[in-house]
Amino acid sequence: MERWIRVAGGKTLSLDFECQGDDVVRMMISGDFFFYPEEGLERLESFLVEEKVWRSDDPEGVIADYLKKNKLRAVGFGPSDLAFLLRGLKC
Amino acid sequence: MLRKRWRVLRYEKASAAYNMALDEAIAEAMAFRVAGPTMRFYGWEPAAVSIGRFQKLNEVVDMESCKRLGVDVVRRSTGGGAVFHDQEMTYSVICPEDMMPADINDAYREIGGWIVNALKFLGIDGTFEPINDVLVDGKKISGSAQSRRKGIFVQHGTLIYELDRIKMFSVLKVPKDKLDSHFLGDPAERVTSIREQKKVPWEYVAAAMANSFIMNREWYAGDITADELTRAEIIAKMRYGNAEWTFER
Repeated sequence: MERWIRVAGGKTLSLDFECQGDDVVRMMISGDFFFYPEEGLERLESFLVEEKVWRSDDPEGVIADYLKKNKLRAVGFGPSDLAFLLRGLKC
Repeated sequence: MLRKRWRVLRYEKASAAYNMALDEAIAEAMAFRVAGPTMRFYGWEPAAVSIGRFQKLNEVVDMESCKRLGVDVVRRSTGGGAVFHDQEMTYSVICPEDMMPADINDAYREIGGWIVNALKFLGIDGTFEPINDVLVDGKKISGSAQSRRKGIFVQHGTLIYELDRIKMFSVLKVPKDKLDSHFLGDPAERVTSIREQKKVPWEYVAAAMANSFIMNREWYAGDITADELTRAEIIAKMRYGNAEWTFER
């Protein structure tokens, strides 16, 4: 399943997720944004699944904290954009 | 001296996989302190589409058209969007991270300024458009992508010389969200080229880019080392020419 938004500034952010029963087992973030270091995006994807961030009361804050703690930087989208895609996510 | 003096490599055309691999091989050599800051100017033979590290290939590239037109496809190690590389000047700037602004956006602006300056040498008024574009009359003429790994800064980008819109938009799929974005009109009309702006020969463009990039910098005309070449060939084969990497997303 896929959700996407066009972020202010013109970049595209997509979120694909794979379900097994009621559980999200995999997520993939894609688009024409920049992410530093690049390898960190896969770690963020795993974190979102493991922590079930879409169930959080404050997904934006959780994502922002994770990026800061792990010295990751997204250019072309922000935590609020990703949180927007995660909100209300259901299998 | 090695640290601050720029090596400027001579212009060459190569395959998409090799072009991407050479940037990485030079960056590796720099991380091992056996290469100094380097600028490359290059082309693509055959023409190619490069896609951003995080893009879904099938959403942005028409693989059937690429096959039919003999256009190569490569996934870059850098983010950003899909680019059709045909008649253009491509550049790479590879240097220790501390030679560039620490802020990513500032670094895009810095090198974007070099491109604006090159356009100025050609009598064309360009403007840097954050995050990573240079526009002429509101149309994109240049885009760039940057990475920073192991203390090494790499930015590569394009300056479109001549535009074949039919070919470009045969191989690139314009995502539906871009069709109704804040840009107006046909996506093919949102890009422009040097030749559309001014009928200058290729050699002038090459000279303008080189002169702008080396301006106020120490530099020398250098060559790729045998080690860089060997490493680039390996990286091209193992990564950029490997379908598993290309179809990763």
